[in-house]
Amino acid sequence: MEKANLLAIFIAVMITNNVILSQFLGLCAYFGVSDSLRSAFSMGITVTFVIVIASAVSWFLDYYLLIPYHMEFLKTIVFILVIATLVQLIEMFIAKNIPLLQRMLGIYLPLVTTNCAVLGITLVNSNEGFNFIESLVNGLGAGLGYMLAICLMAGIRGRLMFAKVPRAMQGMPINFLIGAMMALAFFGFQGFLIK
Amino acid sequence: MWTVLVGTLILCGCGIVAGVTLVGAARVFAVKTDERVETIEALLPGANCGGCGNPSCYNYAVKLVSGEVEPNRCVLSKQESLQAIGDILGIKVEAALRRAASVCCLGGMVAAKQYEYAGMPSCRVAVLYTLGDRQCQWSCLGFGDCSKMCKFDAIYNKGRSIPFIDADKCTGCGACAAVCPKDLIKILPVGFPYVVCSTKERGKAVSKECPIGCIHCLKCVKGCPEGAIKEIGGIIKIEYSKCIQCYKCVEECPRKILKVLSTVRQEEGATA
Repeated sequence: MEKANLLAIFIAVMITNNVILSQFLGLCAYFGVSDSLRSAFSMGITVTFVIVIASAVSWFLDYYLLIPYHMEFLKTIVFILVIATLVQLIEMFIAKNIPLLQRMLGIYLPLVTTNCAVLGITLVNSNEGFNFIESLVNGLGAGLGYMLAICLMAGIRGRLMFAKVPRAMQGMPINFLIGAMMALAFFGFQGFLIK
Repeated sequence: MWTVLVGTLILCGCGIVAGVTLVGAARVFAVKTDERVETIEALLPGANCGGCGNPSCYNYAVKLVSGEVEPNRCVLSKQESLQAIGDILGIKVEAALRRAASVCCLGGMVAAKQYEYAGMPSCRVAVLYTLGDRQCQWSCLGFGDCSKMCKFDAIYNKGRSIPFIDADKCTGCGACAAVCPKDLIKILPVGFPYVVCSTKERGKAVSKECPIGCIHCLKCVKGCPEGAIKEIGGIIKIEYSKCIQCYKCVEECPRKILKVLSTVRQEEGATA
């Protein structure tokens, strides 16, 4: 039962409630970094990594600090603070201990600091009253869903290079259209929501 | 009152804990960076053109400091700034040969057609269909994928034609050479002769496909006093370390396929 519940959360957040295509979180990086598959993949990995860790830390903060003192209204601001600190901390840790990973994540790590997908998922965890494991699974699923969406977008944009796009639609306009169509396609998964 | 107090305390507490943690972490995880990297990066052009084989000027600066590469690999920098970089690193900088891109195809649209191509106007797409619509498989397809890649406006196409390269503007970064699906663009030293045809066929087979292609008569090979020109694997190759720039090969060539790569080029590719 427990496992089935976790699986339901995972699938729901990864596909049916995809962070980008259904919840419309983290859109700036979605259009900004999806110009090549390589950078899209790096961004996806970074976001997954940060969301999982942020979910864990913010769960502790929520459960042991905010709820006992009835300070739930401070959630947003405290989570922003925690995520920003956390990303800085991770960056320093990686720069010192894992230079290879730092070279791979490169500039994407600081970008994630202000990514609303991260904050959004931690708030969802708290609002849904998820326990620790559920929060982690929710974070992981959201991150992988983000990676899926951004890599799909990068793939389509790669094909766009060879397409004849009308002049007025070149650049961002056609990307927005594609994003909208992908969101529509993902809307079809709504029927699978297991409640 | 209680809510305000506790809320303020919690927020301040979080802020202070975060600040202290970060300061502590900055001490613990401090990474020693070489100041020279920043100084050198400031001296580099900052165009991130990739001409030196590194993704950005920063990466090149890092490699310079660690001694992996020499300063003259940068194709954009002026001699003075290269000298300044050499002074910082304490090494002598030799002037590198100026290099520029050149399209090694003379015929292009003149070569005989094998079918009418009506697909997307892109060399990389056209090449998927029997290596393009020309009978000569080494012919330039002329859609100008290379000119779209150039960051310095050094290449342009007039309609469908062999791209014209402005050697004055060309920095030899190689972005065009990387994109050409037929590898016709070579980065070659300025002021030296080069073969403006890439065919591996010889004699009649060439004439049938392209009236002005290289037929491999090997007059240039025989005519070179230094023995710098050789035919290797069907391609005429010039060894630039041996070349003395006497231009005998250019005179010898009966089809005027050998040319001197100069910074002032008048002739343009034949148009369709």
